[in-house]
Amino acid sequence: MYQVELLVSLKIPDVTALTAANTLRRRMGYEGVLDRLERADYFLFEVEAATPDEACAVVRDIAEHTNLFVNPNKHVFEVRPRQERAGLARSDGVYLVNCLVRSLQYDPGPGLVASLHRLGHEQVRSISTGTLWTLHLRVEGEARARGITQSIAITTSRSQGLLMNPHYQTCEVY
Amino acid sequence: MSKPRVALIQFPGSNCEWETKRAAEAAGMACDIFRWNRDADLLAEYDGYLIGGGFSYQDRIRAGVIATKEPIVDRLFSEVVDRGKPVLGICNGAQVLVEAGLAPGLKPGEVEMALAPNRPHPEGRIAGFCCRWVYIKHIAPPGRCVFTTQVPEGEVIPIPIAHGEGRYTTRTPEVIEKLRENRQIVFQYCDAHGNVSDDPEVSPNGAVDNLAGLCNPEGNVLAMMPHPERASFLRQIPTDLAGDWSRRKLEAMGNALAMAEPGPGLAVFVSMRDSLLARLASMAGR
Repeated sequence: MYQVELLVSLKIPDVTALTAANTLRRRMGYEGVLDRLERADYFLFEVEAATPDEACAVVRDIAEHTNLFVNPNKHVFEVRPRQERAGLARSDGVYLVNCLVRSLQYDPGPGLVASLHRLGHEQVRSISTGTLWTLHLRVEGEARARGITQSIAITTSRSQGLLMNPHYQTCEVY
Repeated sequence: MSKPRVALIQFPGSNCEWETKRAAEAAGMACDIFRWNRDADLLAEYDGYLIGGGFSYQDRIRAGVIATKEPIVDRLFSEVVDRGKPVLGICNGAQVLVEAGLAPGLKPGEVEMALAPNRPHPEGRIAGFCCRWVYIKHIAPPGRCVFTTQVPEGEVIPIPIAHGEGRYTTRTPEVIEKLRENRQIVFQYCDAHGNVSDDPEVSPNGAVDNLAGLCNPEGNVLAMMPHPERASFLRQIPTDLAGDWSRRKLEAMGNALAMAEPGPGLAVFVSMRDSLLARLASMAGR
């Protein structure tokens, strides 16, 4: 069994990510700190396969041919083995921090698996879903980058936090 | 005494302004549509506030959250919390109030709940947007909430809902206990006979405690997912509902004047008007 990530994002500018970035900069003080904000629909597949490459090929085939996850008219996608949660990537003084937001209570994954089984993709054992935000942060130090991402993510009050509501969502920063 | 003045706050993506204004005016209030990017200090000129339904900022990130970061919500917060003025949030307005920490308002400003996506189908299919008529029961005691002074305790109201994110939930069970203890639960979903139930046909979004509307401890904030403005005139009532309202609609059919008579939702706006008149009279008497 291998874990494979499918990331689906828009071909055109993502207005949700732009609005979030605009709010963070204009209203919440992250001007000069938040360089860029990206968003993707996130699907984590568990696939029965002989090798990681074979598992990725299964997910790529699903993404290209089922119309369940990707509409080629408006989406681009990336398939990759599940990323290890290692240190943050950094280039030109900017940290790239991932923030994966998932629902605590309901996940459409089982319904998607059932649909895939009806389509003959029985190698897929499970799917979990979420929204993957990638923050490009111009700050000193990895700990600071992680701390700012937590603050941006978790909504605790009307003035603090934006990307998830902890009463029904959870987030993983990596 | 002149009519109470209320501001109906319009965000980009609001879409129920005109019918909400019409209901407020039918109830005897003067209502201005107040754009979110006007000078927020002008809000102080109004006696109370409405935030109607729609999709503020296209529900980007999640319903209501972007709007709460706008300066107008800061001003609204101080008018409501510091000065005790009333605010009614309907549907997207309720989502804004919850994300702004005005509802349930146990600790004003803190986000104590969420209006999460509706409960999915038991087979795992996404529930999505739910648009239909339901029944709600007024369970708050008399005078508990300024928006239901004209609604008897136990009254069952037919009313439409139209939302994809209307499931009241919290990760803090103490919040729900406190809401019960404080009698802040104003409306619960129920059947036509007033029986409260978890049945998805009755409680369509899976809200904790079948919550359809709740107020803050002071009773001057009401966040409700159903749309009272869409049930404010007899002409808006479907004829196939169980109960008295459909019968009245059928009896009135063909009579335009009778069709303009109040529907069950108007009581929310009339209650607001009465509360504002009492508040204004009290302030004038000081």
